[in-house]
Parts: sequence; C-alpha cells; structure tokens
Amino acid sequence: MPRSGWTAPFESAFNGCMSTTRRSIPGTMRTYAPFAGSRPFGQMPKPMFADDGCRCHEAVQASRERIDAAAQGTVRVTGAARTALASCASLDWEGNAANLFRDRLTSLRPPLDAHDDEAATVTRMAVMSP
Amino acid sequence: MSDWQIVARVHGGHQSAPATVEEFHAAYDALVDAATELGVHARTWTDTAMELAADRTSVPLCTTLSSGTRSSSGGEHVTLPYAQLIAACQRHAAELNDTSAKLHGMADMLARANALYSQAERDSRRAVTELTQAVTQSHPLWASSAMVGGILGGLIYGGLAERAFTPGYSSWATAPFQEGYMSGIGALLTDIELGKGVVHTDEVNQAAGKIGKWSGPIKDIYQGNELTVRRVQSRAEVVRSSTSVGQSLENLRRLGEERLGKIDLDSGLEYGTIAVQRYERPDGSNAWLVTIPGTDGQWDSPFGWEQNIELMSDDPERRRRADGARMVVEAMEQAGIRPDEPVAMIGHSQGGIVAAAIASDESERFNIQHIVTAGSPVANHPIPEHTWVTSIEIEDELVAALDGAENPATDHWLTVRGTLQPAAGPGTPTLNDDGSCTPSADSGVWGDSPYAAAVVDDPAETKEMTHWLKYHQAAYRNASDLGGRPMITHERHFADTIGGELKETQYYEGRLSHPPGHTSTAPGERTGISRVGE
Repeated sequence: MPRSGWTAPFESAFNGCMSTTRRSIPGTMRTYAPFAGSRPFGQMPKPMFADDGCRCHEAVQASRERIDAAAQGTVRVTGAARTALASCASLDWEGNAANLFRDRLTSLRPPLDAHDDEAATVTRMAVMSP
Repeated sequence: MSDWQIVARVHGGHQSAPATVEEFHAAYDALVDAATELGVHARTWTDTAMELAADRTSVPLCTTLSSGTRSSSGGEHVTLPYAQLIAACQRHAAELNDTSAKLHGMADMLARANALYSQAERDSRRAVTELTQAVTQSHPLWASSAMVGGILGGLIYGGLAERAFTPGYSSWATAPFQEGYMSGIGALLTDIELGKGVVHTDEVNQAAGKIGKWSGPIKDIYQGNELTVRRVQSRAEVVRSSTSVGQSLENLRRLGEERLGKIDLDSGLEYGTIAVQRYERPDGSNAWLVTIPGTDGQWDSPFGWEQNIELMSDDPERRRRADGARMVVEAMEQAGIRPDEPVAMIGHSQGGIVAAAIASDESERFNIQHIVTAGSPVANHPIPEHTWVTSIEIEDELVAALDGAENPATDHWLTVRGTLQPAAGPGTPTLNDDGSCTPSADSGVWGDSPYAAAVVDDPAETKEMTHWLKYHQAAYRNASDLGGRPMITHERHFADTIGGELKETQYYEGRLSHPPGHTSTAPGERTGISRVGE
C-alpha cells in the first residue's frame, strides 16, 4: 500500500473532479483547485504522514495558534473599549439617558473582563489538551 | 396589535460650549471605534470556529484528530476538544457582539442628545429639498408622476405587508421629497425663477398668500364671516395643570380628542374649542397658557380646512384675518390677558400654525414668550427672536412638511424630529400621571437602551399616518429622555413661562355664521366678532 494511504489510480466515470488521477475521460471536467494554496477549504487533503509523523500534530498546532491569535486580539479590543469608556467619564450631559450612560460606563467593565477571561479559558482549553 | 416606537433627534436650541462639543465628538468617536473593533473581532472568533472545524477534518485518515477525544492508544496521534472549542468560540463571538451593540447604543444616545450631527443632517436634507424643488419646477409633470408613483408604491407595499389599505406607507415612501416638492409647486405658482429657490424657503407661504386672496372670500360665502366667540363651561377637567411641555401635550391631546368625540370625558365641550389657563406666579402676577387643537373641519368652525391656507400666507394681514387666529386672539382678550403678562401657547397642526401666526403678528398685543407646535408647518412664519419655539415633527407625517422648508435651528428655535420604527422586544413603557416615563426593558434599537426610542401609546393595528398627536408625544418623550443642553434649556424656559399655581381654566368656543341680513361678503371684508355670554 502506498505510504500516502491512497490506493492506486483507477479509471472512473467521474474522473477529473478534484482527483489525483491523471487520466480523464474526454468531456469530463478538468481537474482544478480554485482555492489551492490560499485557504484550507478546497485544498487537497494532506497526506496522513509527514516525514516526522502524522499530520494531526500540525493540525493541532495550527488550531492552537489560531486560538492564541484570537485571544490576543480580544485583549487588544477590550483594552481599547476600556479606554473609550474612561474618556466618557466627565461629559457634561444631563437627563435620563445620561444617567443610564454613566451607569453603563461602570456596568460594562465586568463584561469586558469576562471577555478576557473567556479568551484565556479557550486558550487554556487548547493548550492543556495533549 | 403592532407596537411602534419613535426615535427622536434634536435640532437647534442652546448648544453646549464649543469645548464641550469637542469632548462629545471625541467621546462619540472613541465609542464608535471601540464598538466597531469589538464587532469585527467577534467575526474573528466566528471565523476561528469555522477554521477549527476545518482543522479537525484536515487529515481525513487520522481518526484521533477528527474524533476530538483523546486516543487511548498512546501519543502517536493528537487532537483537541474541538466540539467544546468551537462552541466556546461561537459563544464568545455572540458576547462580543452584544457588548459592541451596547457601545453603539451609548454612542447613538450621546450623538442624538447633543445634536452632534445635526448640521450634517440638515445640510443633507436641504440638498435633497433644493434638488427636488428644482426638478419639480423644471419638470413638474415628471416630478408629480414620480410622487404619484411613490404614493401608489407605498400603498402597494403597505397592502402586501399589512394586508390593509395603509396610506401611512404612501407618506413614508415620499417623505424625503415632500418638502422639496411643495417648494417646487409653490415656486411655480408664484413665478419664482428656477435657481432662485436656493435663496428662498418661503415659496409655499407665498403661494398660500396668492391662493388665500380668493379662497378666503369663497370660504366666507359658504361658511360666513361672522365669528362668535363665547366662553363655555366644561363638566369635567379636560385641560389640567401643567408644569412641562410633556404635560401640556397630554392636555392638548385630551382637549383635541374630547371635542371631536374620540374620547369621552363627559365634558360637554364641542369642536372649535380652545383652553386659556391662568397661572399665578409667586409674586402674584399672572402667566397664561393657551391650548389650541387642530383642524376639526366642521361646517361652522373657525378651524376649518380653508383656514389653513390663510394661516400659511406670507401676508400678515391675511394671517390675521384667518378665523382661527381671530378666534384665539378674541378668546385671549376675553380672558383678560394683558400685554405685559407672559404667555405660552401650544397647538397641534392648525393649532400650532395659529400659535405661530399670533406670535408673528400680535407681538405688540401679547407678550408671547414660548410656543410649542406639534405637526405644524411653521418654518417660514416670522416669529420674533424673543419668542422661543419648540417644534415637534414626525418624519413622514406630511403635514409638517407642507411649509416646504426645514425649521430654523437657532438658540430659541428647537425642533424635535421623530422617525417611526416598528418596536421590538417585550414590554412597553408606562406613561405616568405626572408625564414621566417608566421605560421598557428593550426597545430593539442599538444596544437595548430603554431611552433609545419611545413606544407610541395606543398603537394602531397598521401603519397609519403619523400626524396624530400621540406620535409627537412619543417623539418629545424620547427627546426628553435623551436630555442634553438644548432640550433641558427649552423645557426650563417653557416651565418658567407658565411657572405658578393654576388658578383657572377657561374654555372658549368659536362659531362662524353669516351676519343677519347677509347676502354676500365684499372681498377682503373680514370683520364681525361677536362675544356671547355664558
């Protein structure tokens, strides 16, 4: 059995649709991969084994990196939100809506903290798994 | 029954100091930027969830990876708890969106309360109005066809949406062009040169003046010119004590609906009735509040349909001769209002036009310090600077747009402009007896703030014309909740004008008739007011 895990090419009536075989029946769609090289979607599935083992390790590492990047982004945007709220503390504005506005300057801090905590939790969930 | 809400914006009035306005702008920009970043980052987490799902299946023959659970067969293969991670990413995205919406809502309230983008909105509106006017003047048939098309389109849309005849949608569809179209027609009727309309805003008033020269005498023929004003008694308290614009609007609604029989307070009051209230100030002097409902269209009422044209005229004499103005002036004199005593007036529709006309033309007879108009096309009335004006208009009510122009936005002229939207979410706010509002939990507008909009009381089954006073009340309620220096300053001025203890509420009824032995009325001869005792 080939190391890649794929069986040997065989003739198929639907040959040409995202297939690795080189033979194609005239009139069928040619092989093409419109998203190849740019996005995970549409790419050919990778061979199961790399030189140093199963590619599941790469996939897991990629997942961890995505989560880590997103979590760092959360810290950045919640920090910007806190700065924005702080800049509104001394506005000269009266009325019911102004009172609610000032309440929200305070009441939005816990949700912003919760966003940071949630991002950290997701990161830990990804890191601590073997 | 559908719920509707009004989102209000404020134009004019006393603005905050420039440094304060700069602070408002900076705060608004910071909030919007933060809200936008949170919203964009929420999408990042959504994308991350999708990418994790793709990672999970990226090595199809590795069952450990795709299982998402740790393999018991040793460390050769790895995975992550993908199901929990994907769910956490999606949940996190939703929470970030919620916070983003709240920040957007805060920014929106800040902007509307302090009229941060009022000038930009007005400039944009003026541009549309002038362009529409120019097109109407140069291609009146085309413009009229387009308006008819908009009206029919609105009717069709309303019929499909609500399975009913809903002219409210016709007005909604044509709302952005109503002022410009009216201006264009006015310019055509008064031969204003194309292009000169940019420096005019009173084309409609000029046209009304021209039309009123013959509509007035024609009206005299069938309605008569003899005006009888008599004081009448009310069996019930219709117009109550007021210390605010909100309370006065509620009194105006009660009087307007009671005299037409829409509500039954068992007062015995009929159409053509206004209220004149005397308040006694702490120093013993008097202050007055005159409450004027709108057109009743009754055969012998001074508040008929034709009178609107005369009240809109650019000719002060024509305005003075309008029966509604004559009637209210006569009532004010009968009530004993002295020239030096402060007067506030509040009117809906034609009632507001009467208030504006009297403020414009009788400033030497009465000390009119503040008028409140609801749904009244008064943009071009020459109201003197010392009279404060609080105008309330609804975007698609049509009537307020009949002046063909936006209201001035000065320190003394504040306009609350409301836009109707379907309400969303559970709960309705409660209008308390003192005029204050207990908000609902969710208005459905940005960030679920209870002050982002005001729910309309007693909503109609379908989208009706928004000229009814309840819509203006909701607009004012929302604007009041938003607060801000313009609203607070104007409200305070109105309250100070009538500040004091209510001493008496007088009701006056007007009727038109032909004088005894009448055969015809000479054009321009508009005299004849009779006082009748109780």
